[in-house]
Amino acid sequence: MADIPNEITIIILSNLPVKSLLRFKCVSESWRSLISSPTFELSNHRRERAITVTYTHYSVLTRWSFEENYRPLFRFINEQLTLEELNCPLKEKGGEISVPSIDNCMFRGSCHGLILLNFKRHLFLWNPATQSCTKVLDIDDLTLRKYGSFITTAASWGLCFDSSKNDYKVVMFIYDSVAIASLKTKEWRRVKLPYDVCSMHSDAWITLHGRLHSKTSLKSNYRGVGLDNVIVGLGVLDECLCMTCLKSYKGFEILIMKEYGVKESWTPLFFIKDLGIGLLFGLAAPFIVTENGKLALIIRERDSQRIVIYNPKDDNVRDIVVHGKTYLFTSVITYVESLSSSEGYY
Amino acid sequence: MAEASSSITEKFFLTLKSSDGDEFVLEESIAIQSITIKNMVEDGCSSSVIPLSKVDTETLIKVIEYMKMHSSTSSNEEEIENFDKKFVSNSINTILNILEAANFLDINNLLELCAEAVANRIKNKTPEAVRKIFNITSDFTPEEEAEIRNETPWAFEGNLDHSLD
Repeated sequence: MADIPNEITIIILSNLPVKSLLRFKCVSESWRSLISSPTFELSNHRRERAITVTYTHYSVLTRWSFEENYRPLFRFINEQLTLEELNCPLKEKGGEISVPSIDNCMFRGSCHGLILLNFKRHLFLWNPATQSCTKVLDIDDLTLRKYGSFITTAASWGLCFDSSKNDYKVVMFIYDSVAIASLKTKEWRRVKLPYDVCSMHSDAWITLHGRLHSKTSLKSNYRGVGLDNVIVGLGVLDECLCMTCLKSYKGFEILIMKEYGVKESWTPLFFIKDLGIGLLFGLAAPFIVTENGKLALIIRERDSQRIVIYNPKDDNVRDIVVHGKTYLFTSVITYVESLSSSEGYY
Repeated sequence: MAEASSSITEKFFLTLKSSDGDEFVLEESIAIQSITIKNMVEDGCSSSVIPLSKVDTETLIKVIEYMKMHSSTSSNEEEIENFDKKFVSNSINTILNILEAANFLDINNLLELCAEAVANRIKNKTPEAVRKIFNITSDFTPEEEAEIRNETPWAFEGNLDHSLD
């Protein structure tokens, strides 16, 4: 094989998974500089992923006692819809930190392939693809004093990117207040939004092109939504915004916004008669269409989340099953695999 | 009127010449999937033979096969899908040659198809296998290479593929 020109190598590299790219950095100096170049862009095709966290109970026999503990178990769901165990991103020198309470480790947002991870009062930016994790922020004392442990359960969160300042922003909605923090200045401030804030703390946020989107902010952007259509979930498919609509209680329609920001471009993708969920579910967010045309959705019920797979060929919905039983997750988040680094926000 | 209708039905043909000197006659409507050829036709340089000095005969045959299948008139979606699947099962060297031709001829969907196919074929390979496939000699010292491996040791774990195809 004759030498392959750089422009073709770049096209091939942009189609590779991040794990392969990290491995291929050692092919040659030229490959390493192509992969590490700030202008190198991954193709976004089929890069949607989900990360789940759940807790496994374990006992440790120490020299003096028998300790009971919970360990967070991070799993990654790829386009083949298999669960793959990931190394715990939260590490202290010498090993993983122990997580004493189930509620303590939650996903709070994702943007550019970075996941905002909340452990106790600390916030981390984690890139699961490159496995780099940086502590970026603490929840401020004012918020902690005012809301205490409600932060873990009652707040709704998001992560977005301010391109004019090259800065990520953490947004937290809790009851009547909205708090925004910059990852560069580490300062929290309270802001007013042109929406009904009270309904937003139970909303689900999704980040696309660095911007936050919610059901509330989207409703005004979707012509077809009348009184009989309720948006019950948002997601990103192939770099396009998508949503699940409950249609007059007849079933669920999955729509995709083919051209970002053009409301006329909302196109139906799937219609699912029965998602196998009760009326008290909080969310049904589409996140992956597999190569053979199946759709994966995150279903959030009261205090747990599970993942279901819809197969349009036989109109069948099934749960992701691990060791023969439906798996319930404490927290699930989707992201688009990237090489983004969190190091500049320490 | 007569003139307009004749231009719809009349077929124009182009002659493409490979780097090995072999000539292929192809309908213009099929050949202009290549933006490079389309530009040549529009500039009026297609009356004689179009020399493709960067594409050998074996590769050109494959590219023409692809363009014929993908020209809008004849094939349905399922046929195209099956054709593409079979097309990318060619040897990795053949696909790399087609990729270079697609880049030169500016056939975007062929370029994407081949780039994705090559990526799929090499994604689980060892760096050593990739070097051999791409004919690259490592310019790292063993120490430098060890350092890169140590940055993300988990990226080198698992069942890696040593094969060259």
